[in-house]
Amino acid sequence: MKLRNFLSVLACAALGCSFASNAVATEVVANPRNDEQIDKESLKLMLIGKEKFWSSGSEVVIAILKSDPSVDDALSRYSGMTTNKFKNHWQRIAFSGRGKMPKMFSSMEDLVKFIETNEGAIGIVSSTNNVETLRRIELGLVGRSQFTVNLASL
Amino acid sequence: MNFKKATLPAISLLLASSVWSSGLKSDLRLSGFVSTGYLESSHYNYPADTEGGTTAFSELGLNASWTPKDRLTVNGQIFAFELGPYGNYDPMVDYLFLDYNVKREFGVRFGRVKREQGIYTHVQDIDLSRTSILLPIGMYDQRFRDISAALDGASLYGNIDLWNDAYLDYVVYGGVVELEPDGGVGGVALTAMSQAADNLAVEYIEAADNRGAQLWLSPGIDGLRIGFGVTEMSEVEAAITGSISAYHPNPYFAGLPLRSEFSDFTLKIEQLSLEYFVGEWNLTSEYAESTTSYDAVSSIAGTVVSGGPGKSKARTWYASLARRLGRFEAAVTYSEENGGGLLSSGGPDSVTEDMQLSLRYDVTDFWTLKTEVHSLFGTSRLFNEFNQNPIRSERNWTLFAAKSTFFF
Repeated sequence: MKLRNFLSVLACAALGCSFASNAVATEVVANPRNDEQIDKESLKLMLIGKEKFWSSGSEVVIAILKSDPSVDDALSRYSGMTTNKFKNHWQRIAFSGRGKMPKMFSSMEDLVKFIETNEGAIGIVSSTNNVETLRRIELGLVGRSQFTVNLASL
Repeated sequence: MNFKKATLPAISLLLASSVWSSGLKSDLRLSGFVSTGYLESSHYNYPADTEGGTTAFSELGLNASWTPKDRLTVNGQIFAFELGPYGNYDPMVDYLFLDYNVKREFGVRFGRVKREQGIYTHVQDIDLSRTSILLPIGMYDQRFRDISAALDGASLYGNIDLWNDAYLDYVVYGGVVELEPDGGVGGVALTAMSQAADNLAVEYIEAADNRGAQLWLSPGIDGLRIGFGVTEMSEVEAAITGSISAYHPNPYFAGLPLRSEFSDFTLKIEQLSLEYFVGEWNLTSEYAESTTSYDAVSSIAGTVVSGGPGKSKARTWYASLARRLGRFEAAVTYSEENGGGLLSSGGPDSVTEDMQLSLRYDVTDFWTLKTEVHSLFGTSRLFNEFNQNPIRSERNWTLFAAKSTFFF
């Protein structure tokens, strides 16, 4: 047991992670009518407002659940920005007419409903949520979430 | 309103209407902001009537973005502001354009488009986009927003992949800039003549052709980008009238009508920018050089007394470091302008140095409070078109600012 904990600490130190990363895993979800596959780089371009449309021509609309630490963490990893920087970045874009602010939701039900009814919507949600009506986008696990899974199996 | 200037937004509206009539597709998104503040200075009136303190420091904007067709958006914002004698809450179309995004690497905007130069020009009115209340003196000056904020024309833009995770953002633009008689350029011209004449007024000031480009290199390090921008305005023409000052050394001239015409006015600005977000730290720094050239002819009582070409060059730079701590954000900024003196007499009249401390508190997700203090040396940014700064004997002065902003 002690050895396993010691190895966990060593692994974390080597990989630049911390036990705080044992957060709830997240998933990227989209409208079920949108079957386009994207990778992590494409997701980043969408999250930072560089890629404004899907290949089909539908507008990318980002949907975010407020005050969810696991979503904030995932958003930071995927976008390369802190939560505050992300907000500031989008305020600059939106108030100069270069894009639409991400839609922020207080309830999971509202977020799911929004993505269900907007073809270009894309969101990040905690895996604990029931999102059966949405399409899960397979990006592959990244960064600290990957290590969280590995460490949990030690 | 100049025909060309009125036409482009009108065409945008027309195209938008035609798209509307051919069938709606997507949603309309509305947002806006209301901001009000307080300014007080120890000496001088800058940027408004600040010496006794003023609340004439407000902005409000309402914008809409609509995506009626795949890859096509219509974006517009109505904006009004008051900054002492400037603005007067006259509503203006800040921007109104069609944006067709062919693909990530290439898009085109047509109508009244934001003029992108450096980090803040296109978001200079957006208090929320920064820690500070006032942007660095010398590089961003709200009194010049009539020529700096937008232009009627077109811009091309895109995002191009380079090596590994590196990419390049570009914007190239061209069009016409609308000049207001009570805007910054008029203020400069009136200030330059204010020591020699009274009862000054802008007889006319005509539109400027404007073209330029802004490049942003993101070299693959999260949070880091490096920019280069160049812009050139030309074909500005203006005439200023007044009467020779009663204090003129030769009493024979006192009270005689004075008229100065400026033609072939050209302004070129080159600007280097760096912005680096790392964790909750944000470092920004910019350097700009501007060159102005013009022909001027002055006459007294109808007789030409002086004339010929004029040229001036100014440099300005700043560095700012900001740190986020929960809902608080603090920043320290140093800025310097040299050679931009409106009276060109050298010394403190041609320089401004500003050490600025700013504090921001986000009360809620939709309400922000800010306060800041400036310690200044020099008077190069002071206008005198309303006789608001007739004597410039103090080299050192301070400016306090506070602001509250709601947005939705």
